[in-house]
Amino acid sequence: MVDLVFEIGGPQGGGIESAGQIALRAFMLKGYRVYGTREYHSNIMGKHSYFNIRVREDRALAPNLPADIVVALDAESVFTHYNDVGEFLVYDTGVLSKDIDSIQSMSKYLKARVKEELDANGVPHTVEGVIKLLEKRGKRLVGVPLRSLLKTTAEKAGVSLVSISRAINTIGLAVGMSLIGVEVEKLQKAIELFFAGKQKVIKPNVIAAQVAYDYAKQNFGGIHREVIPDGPHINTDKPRLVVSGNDVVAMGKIAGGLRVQTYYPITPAADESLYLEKFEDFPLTPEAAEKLGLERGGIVVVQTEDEISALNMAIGASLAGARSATSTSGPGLSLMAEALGYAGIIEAPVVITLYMRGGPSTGMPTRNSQSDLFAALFQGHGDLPRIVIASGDHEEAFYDAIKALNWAEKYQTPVIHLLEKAIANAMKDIFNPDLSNVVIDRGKIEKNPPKPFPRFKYTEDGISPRAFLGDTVVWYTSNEHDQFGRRNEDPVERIKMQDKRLKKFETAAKEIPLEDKVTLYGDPDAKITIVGWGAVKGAALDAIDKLKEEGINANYLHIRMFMPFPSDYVKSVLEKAETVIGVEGNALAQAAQVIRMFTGFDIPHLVVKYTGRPIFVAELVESVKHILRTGDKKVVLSLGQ
Amino acid sequence: MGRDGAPAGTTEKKCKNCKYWRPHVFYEGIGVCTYKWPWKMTFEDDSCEHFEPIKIDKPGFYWCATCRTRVTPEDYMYHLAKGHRLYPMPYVEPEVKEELYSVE
Ligand SMILES: [Zn+2]
Repeated sequence: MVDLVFEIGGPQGGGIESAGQIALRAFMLKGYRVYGTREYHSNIMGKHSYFNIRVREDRALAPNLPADIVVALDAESVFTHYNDVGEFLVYDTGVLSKDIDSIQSMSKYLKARVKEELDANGVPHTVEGVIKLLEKRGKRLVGVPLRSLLKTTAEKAGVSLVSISRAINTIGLAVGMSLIGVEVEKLQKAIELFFAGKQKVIKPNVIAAQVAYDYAKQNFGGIHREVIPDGPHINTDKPRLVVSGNDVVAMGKIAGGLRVQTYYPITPAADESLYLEKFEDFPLTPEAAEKLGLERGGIVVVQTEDEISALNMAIGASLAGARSATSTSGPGLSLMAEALGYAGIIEAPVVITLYMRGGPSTGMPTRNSQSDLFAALFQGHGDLPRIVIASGDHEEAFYDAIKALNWAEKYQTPVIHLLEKAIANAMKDIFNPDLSNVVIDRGKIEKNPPKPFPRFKYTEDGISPRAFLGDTVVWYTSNEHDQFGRRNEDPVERIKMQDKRLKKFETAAKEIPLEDKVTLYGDPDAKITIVGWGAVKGAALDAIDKLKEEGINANYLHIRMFMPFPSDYVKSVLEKAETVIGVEGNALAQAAQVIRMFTGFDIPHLVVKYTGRPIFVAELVESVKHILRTGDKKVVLSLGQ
Repeated sequence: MGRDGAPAGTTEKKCKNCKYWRPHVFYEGIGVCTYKWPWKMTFEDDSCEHFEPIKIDKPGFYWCATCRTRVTPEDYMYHLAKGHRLYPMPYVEPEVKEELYSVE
């Protein structure tokens, strides 16, 4: 079975983004599923960035290392990724003499580690030294005379080639692709797809691809890896999209009837709102137009002055009857704490999409984490329940975005939808979403509200019918109130009102089906259970497959809803297993602590990662085996640059 | 001494020493000749008849191609003294913004 990793790295802004996007499309055209993880720096231009692309037949949901092919077209990429090389390193012969100390953009800590390893192997601190080391390790080194190929490209393109970066990346990418037998036509088609409509960009890059393929064929014809065959998804009539996690949440919100999105730009959340801005005014399909009696649809997207305003404005839109949401990351959620409490006490439906990056404080804005689970569950004062969900991949994120909007309105509560940077920025292929089962459930709405209107009426399920501002007068005070919203601190009424608000979550816990809260993957009778959430899913599903190949039978318990928490089910699964291993992307093992809080079950073994990088399949497999062998309580993962 | 062992301030008639040349902001040894529009990609050791030597002789903001960073009037001498290669500015492609991630 094809399970390939293709990695390409270079200076941020220097064409890596296009190269990665083109590579994804080329592998899709070859018939494969793809998952592209992007790593980049927060101080923008010139620092090192890279794409790790996983290529599989059935499911590509997580990054992995080592990479079958590493394309490193500057010296820094060679020094940064030589330990990632599984089989091939494609490098520029023009940088062979480059010394690691002359690279100013590289971290001194990484330099020190690399120099230590080069010294231990008796090779110089140059690219040539690294090449020698990799030769000793039996890797296959593919030197490319980049400047010469670039010159040939410029001559053949017949134009003054000033879009240099992209051509350089196309050359590197093409050499890498040729080594595994992806046809040049597929790469060229991918270039056309990615740069659609930009003929001036397409032409030189299509030529660069050909020049590089011709060079590789003449020079490396004999060192071909076994070529990858056409994948199972080649030439099918099932259309696929390639989307980021940000894109797919935005798409889910559009499908889920979002009308107002507010935001203050923050990494890695802003791209979702920028995507939504493209849909401020769009034509409806004829069927939708007829059904709604409208010709056009649209979402109001507002960039506010800060996150305090973003959540308050979304609450205002919600009270006026619009489906509303906001999108942010940890530091933004901190500012939203007060408004979150307000939404809680006035029972305003609102969705907060929370993208997790490395914290606390500004932390590592462009790096991955799962460290905002506590904040999502407990931020704000008072008895303030809310619905908290976490998506495990792009497809879950699409449908969760729709469900979050429904649950917010149905249970009249803030819903916090958690996603990691690892999903937000990763590019993945998805089949066109199935919209046939998408339901927009707006909950209890009083269309002809009396005056005065008992907005907070006591009901059996705790949910009071709401009316929109403009249809009647409602007093939405942040103070405790009576059924009509009037300030009230009567002790007996306080109990009734607080219990009514809490009752909604008992109702939600009963009504929301188990499959939206938690999923057990693999053999339900396995003696080893791995517990995780969010993007751990991708690595864990691959890990249980790999472990099975080695005779270890493990299953994976994937938690998707943290509030209300599926306590009984989770407890029953964990108690049944002989060995339970919690896996998560934070230092405190936050989910493990939440599980103990809601079930009383203490997870005995933990695998955690807080380097800011995603969990790679290989390191998860190794850590599980390590725990089974040693009984260790905790393993800290650190793979990846 | 220059980066490649050539004396600093050399007038060897190559693109890398020419006032019309801008080194690529990211990739070494590659640049753009700005002698006339449209500009043309050239390599550091290329040469042509329009060569005019580059002069970095007064304080100013320069691009240090060796350090791949902008240097200020206060510290440009430090880079020159170490034999670094300074230019009035690097070549930044117009589409660089399409390749960058926004970070806030
Ligand atoms: Zn310098």
